[in-house]
Amino acid sequence: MMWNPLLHWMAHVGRGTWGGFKRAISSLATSEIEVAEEARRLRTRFSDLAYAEFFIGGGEHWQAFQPLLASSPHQPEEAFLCGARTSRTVTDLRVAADRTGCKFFELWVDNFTTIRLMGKHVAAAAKAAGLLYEPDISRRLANDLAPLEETIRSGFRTVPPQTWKVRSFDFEVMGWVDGFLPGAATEYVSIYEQRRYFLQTASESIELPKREAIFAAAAIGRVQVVQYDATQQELRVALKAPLPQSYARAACAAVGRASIRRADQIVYERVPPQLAAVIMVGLGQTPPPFHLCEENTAGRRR
Amino acid sequence: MSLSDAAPYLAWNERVVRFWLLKPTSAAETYLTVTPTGLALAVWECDGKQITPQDAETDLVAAVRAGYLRWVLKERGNVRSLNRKAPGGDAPLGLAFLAASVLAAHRMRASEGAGANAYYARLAQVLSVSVTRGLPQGLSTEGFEALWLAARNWTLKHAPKPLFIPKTTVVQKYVAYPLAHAELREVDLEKLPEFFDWAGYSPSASIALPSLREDFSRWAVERGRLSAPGRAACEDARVDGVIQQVAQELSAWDGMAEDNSGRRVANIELTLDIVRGAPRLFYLARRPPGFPEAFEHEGHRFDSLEAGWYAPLPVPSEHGAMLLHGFDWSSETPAPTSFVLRRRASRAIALVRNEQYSGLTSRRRLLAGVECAVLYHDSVAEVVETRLKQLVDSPCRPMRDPSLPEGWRVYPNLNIGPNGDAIPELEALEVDAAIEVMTSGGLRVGRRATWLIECPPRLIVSGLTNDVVIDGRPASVSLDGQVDWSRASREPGEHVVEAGRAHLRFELVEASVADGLASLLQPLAVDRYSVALTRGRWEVVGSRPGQILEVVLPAPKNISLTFAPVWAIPTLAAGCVLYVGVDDQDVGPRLDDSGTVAAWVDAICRAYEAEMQVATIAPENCSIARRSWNNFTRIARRERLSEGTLA
Repeated sequence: MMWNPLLHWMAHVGRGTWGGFKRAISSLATSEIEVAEEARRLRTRFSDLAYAEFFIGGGEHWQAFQPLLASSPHQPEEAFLCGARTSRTVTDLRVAADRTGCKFFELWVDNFTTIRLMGKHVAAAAKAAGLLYEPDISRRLANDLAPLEETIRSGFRTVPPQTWKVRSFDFEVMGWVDGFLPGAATEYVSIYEQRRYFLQTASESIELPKREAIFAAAAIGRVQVVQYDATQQELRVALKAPLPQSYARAACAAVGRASIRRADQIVYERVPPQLAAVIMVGLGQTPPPFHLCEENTAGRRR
Repeated sequence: MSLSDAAPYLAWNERVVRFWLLKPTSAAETYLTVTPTGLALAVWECDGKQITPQDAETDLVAAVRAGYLRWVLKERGNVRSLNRKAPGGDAPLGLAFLAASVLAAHRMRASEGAGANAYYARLAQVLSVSVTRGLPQGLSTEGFEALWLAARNWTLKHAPKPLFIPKTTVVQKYVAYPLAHAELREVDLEKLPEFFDWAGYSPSASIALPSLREDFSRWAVERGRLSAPGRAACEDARVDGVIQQVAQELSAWDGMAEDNSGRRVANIELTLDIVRGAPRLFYLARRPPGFPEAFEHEGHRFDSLEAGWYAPLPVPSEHGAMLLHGFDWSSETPAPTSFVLRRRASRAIALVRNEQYSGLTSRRRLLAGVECAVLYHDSVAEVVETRLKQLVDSPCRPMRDPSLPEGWRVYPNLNIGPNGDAIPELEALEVDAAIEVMTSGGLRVGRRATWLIECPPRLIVSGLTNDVVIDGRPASVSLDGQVDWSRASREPGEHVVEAGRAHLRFELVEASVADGLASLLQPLAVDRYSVALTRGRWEVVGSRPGQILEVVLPAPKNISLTFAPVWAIPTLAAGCVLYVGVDDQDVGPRLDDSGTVAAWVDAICRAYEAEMQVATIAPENCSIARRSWNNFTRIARRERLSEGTLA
């Protein structure tokens, strides 16, 4: 199943509900596809690659972003198309790339295409295609990250629904387990399979989005759930604890790459060190350690 | 009055042509069923604009008043002036006026026992003219008749069916023309949602006129809710006009009915998907306009979906008895009006391919010639299974699945043949043999019948017919009603599918990026940079002297800066200087700025003198970092020296 038409539909309608998004998927899907599962997968992909944002303000709506050609100072001759797009957007960019001497790549990944440009004049190509251009996407996305601390502070204090089934996120097994664990992120599921997530401390229950609830519990319990491998430039989290939406988008869109699954981990590749540090600190995690450049001392030579 | 001032009149004239006269109908003649609801629907179908019935009525009245002034009162002073072709077209110019004359009849129908004089008074009111010798100013009875006959003649040549003209008598001869197109009174029209709900129709459904007629007659007899004149109209030759009015009101119906206690009630349908061989049953509640965006009941929240629905909810297996006995869910959100979502009691439920949703959706009866399923309770298993053996050619087996409601089973994948048997106690097992054209799937954009051209809908025709034409070209139909339109032109624009007497008009469009999309990045008043720092006291410096910020952090934190940070220097005499720049551009400071440089120089020189080591997060950045630090210290020391010299 090719999902490009879904992206074009999102660009055309601009915004909609989560139910409408699933319905659009079911309209395109074959009967072998589990729509709910595919919708979750595509939502993660589209959000990570900055095509659209889902569950705006904790609600049930999604919205597509304005098309934008994004680049980074550490790879200034590479650019990646974010935001909404249609066949026309892609054709216009292809033509603009030709005119400005850039190379145009349309790569099939996960049954939809990602669009990249390479060359010295990516900004000119964006202008010729009538697209916005951002030369430092990594910094801009990092600036927009809301600290987890703030999310917890503004979370809704309420009593979880007592008649719903409860599961808790257990950092020992890095997954959800049945029942209530104090101080954990909890998931309440109704008979209609509706889900609500909470951070339940000894003194209060705070309703939060699912991923934020897990990271809030990790921050409070001082559990390190994000690792950064500076040599590989990889940010790694447990499969069941993906980064919150805006953080995942910063990690992926900064380099124009979706995350990959490796064993029981989600790996965000080629994440620049400073961005990794901002992500980790923003989520209440200990930042990556600094490596001493030992061969020469930095100070005065005697 | 210029032609542009007459544009609203001409627009309505054109809508009358497109919406009422050129629309295919299975009736022998076309009725000009003008009501406020019909006018709003005409604007929606012709222009894609959603306006209220009241606004549509006001708009028509204003346009006709202006047109009447221009072509009648300011010309010969006789309505005969309208008996000519509309500018720029060949349709009669008088059609919008005739529509207004039917609207006057509709208004008159609201009052019991109104006579001819009452009609002309209402027409004068619509035209905003005085009544002279019993007639609105400018109206002559012969002229009025001539307009009706000209319209009829035009439809005989250009439209699928001729416009209905009543056989007039001497009494009320001329008034009979508009009255014949407004048979149902307002008091009867108001009861139609109750009928639609009773019949289990979908909002905006297009039901074949013979089926609609049969259902309406059954409802009218069973419920006895029509007024005496309404009942009388159903019992004689006027019934065709009545049914066209009902069909039009159904096209405009938003899915809401009102119960006896004034609560606003919408139906909960069921929808069935078969995923990897397993049945998935969902509640699919309708959300008519005015219903809350989120419907809360017993702690559950039903969020709205586009196009008049709440998002589907899985039917829990413990809901077997609820499904059998029916239930009402009342909205718990405080509001002046009560809203109810209702599922009626049922022992067997017909599920049919439906254009509103991708799966099979509940419907009053089975539909011949398209994919159907039957969900039924154990208590009627024998009746259902015996009946289905009569209806399907190939043997099939019921599915029992733990995910289904307790005590219920389903027969999926049924292709039902026509069968006229009535089964009053289990109406879901009756078969509707009507020809209906439906769409399924595709990527729909907006509420109107519009799809993206790259993902058009599948077309399905019920009633086991092979007589299907798309844009005038024959198309083949499979046994399960799917229309093969691979050979038809898939150009952007409007397309028409005709099957027997049913038709469907839809549009294909190319995707374009919507206006006003959200920006991925928040707007910036000033350029900002973020840097993550651990606990401690730091001086963060940028590549320009003067770019320095001192921070004290009790815990790790992201700091926002107005300059690009390159080095984080601990203010204590211990530790290491951290390279927080991003690339080669940060290797050397730039002394092209004036400004205070003392703090910047001090911070760097202090670290230099304390022989702090350079550190980076990524080891491969060490060479850049070293080069950068050497440049920073060299410049800082030189600055200090020059300051010293100056001093």
